Amino acid sequence: MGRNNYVLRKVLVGIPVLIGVVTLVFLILHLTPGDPVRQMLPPDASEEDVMRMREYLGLDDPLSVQYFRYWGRVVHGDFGRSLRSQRPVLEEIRARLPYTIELALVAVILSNVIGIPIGVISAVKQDTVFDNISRAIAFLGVSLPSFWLATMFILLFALVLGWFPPSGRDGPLWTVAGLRSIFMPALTLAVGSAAGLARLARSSMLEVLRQDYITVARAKGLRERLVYTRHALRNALLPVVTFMGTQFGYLLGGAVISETVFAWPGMGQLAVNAIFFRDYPLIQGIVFFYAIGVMLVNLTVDLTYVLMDPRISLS
Amino acid sequence: MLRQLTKNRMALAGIIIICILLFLAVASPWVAPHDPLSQSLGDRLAPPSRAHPLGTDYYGRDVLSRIIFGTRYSLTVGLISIGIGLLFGASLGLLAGYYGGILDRLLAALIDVLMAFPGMLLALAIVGILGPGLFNVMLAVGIWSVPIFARIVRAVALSTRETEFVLAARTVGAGGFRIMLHHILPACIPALIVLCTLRMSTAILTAAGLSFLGLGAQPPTPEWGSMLNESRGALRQAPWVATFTGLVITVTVTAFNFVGDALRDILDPRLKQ
Repeated sequence: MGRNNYVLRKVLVGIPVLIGVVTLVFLILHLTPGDPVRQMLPPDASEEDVMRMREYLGLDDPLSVQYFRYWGRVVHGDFGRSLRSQRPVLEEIRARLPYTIELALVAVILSNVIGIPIGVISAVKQDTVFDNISRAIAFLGVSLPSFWLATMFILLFALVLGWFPPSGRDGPLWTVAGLRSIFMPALTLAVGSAAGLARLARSSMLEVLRQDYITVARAKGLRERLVYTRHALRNALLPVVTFMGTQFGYLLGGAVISETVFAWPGMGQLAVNAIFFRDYPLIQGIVFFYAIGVMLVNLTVDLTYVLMDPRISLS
Repeated sequence: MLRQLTKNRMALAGIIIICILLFLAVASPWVAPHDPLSQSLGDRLAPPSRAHPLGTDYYGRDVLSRIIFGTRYSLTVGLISIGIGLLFGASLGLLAGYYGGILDRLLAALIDVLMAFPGMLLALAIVGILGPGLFNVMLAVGIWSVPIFARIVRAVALSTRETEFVLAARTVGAGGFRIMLHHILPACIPALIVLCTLRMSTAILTAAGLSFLGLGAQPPTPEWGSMLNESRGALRQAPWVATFTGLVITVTVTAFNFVGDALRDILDPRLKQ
């Protein structure tokens, strides 16, 4: 019962945030300094074009009417048409979203595979050479600008060594060409969060290893390996899960850079182009989807937490 | 505090680097060997040499001079955006934390909504609203900092308003404004110093990132992110442009992180997660 209540409460908390997000997205057109309609149209547009555009966007109605109409449209999944391509915004996003999700997922896997073992081994071998080197790398990894890292990857792995294609997506993940083309964009995206994960996993593991139950496990003669895997890891990785959740949002942000550098056909590239061309309906749609995506991931993380830590349902 | 700070070797390195950067920013017209904008097509993509210690770019401009002038943009962006965050964030946080009630609940809700967006995405969304340009990037990073500052100040204000010295001040008849300014704000200062330093690196990194995407500083401005973006066209022929520019960004960001981390350990260990 307690567990269900917790889940329900988490879902309900999301509702005001969702309302806030829709309101902010709606306000995008109205917060724009100057006349957004003028900025959307070419400089030589006539007064008549401006009028027609205002009418098309429904900007002549009172704000409250516009606001409720916007809600009605959002509920029906209607985000208007991209000014540039004239295609429905939803269609544009649907065409790009899978590639961003694909990139983010591969990056999450990479950052876990790299970050968590390094952090855990660092903690187990505290103050050894391995620990010191990995801590230094982790610190650097947090400060490295991803756009520079990406540029250097292209220089080294694509232009000098020729191991990976410098840009583009060469096919689905299950093909060799596809895997090769996703490697650099995903690694660029993964480095920052891998570094964060390594630091967190290390400190969390150190914290757990100081606990009494670890001493008990050792005292009853359990092998070291089992002490780590069976007793320490499960508790040490709890904060890591939360961190992964917040990281997913940052990955979506980082993906904007990674996708632009590597010409990956995802949402990030779409967003940058939409901003360039002042394509406001598209900008609104993209912001909405990003916010929803981040909210859903946060919710999933909260729910995963319940599965991992039964104590939560009691509080 | 300064003595404690300089005892930490990494923080000391950070302080020295920041001082150098500040000096370069102020003195760039005298320190830079060349005009950052003057093109010399005969010297295009020249590798590092005595005349051009870090080489030249696609238009034959001296990379070192451009990097030196770039300190001005990065530090200005950092300072202004943090100023915006500090001014508005701290004021909102103070008001909400001290008075509580509806104002507090509204602010908490707004913080929740803004925090639902990861930083880079929020900055991107704001640039999307305001349009591309370096000034708008400063505003965007500043606006994004507002909830972060507000949250910290609100937390301190909430815990300080019940303390005895605030109660005493109120008994003596001090008004809300006076209490906030003289009694609660000082309690926030350690946390604010730490936050400002750490935010400086985030602000510089985000602004450079947005300029790199072409949404911030526009060519031929010698802004680091924009320079890095321009360098990609001739990456194979002139890898030094991207290498050195990126290195300077990394060193700058690391310096602020070093100092920020050390300050946090000294001033406000609670911030450490």
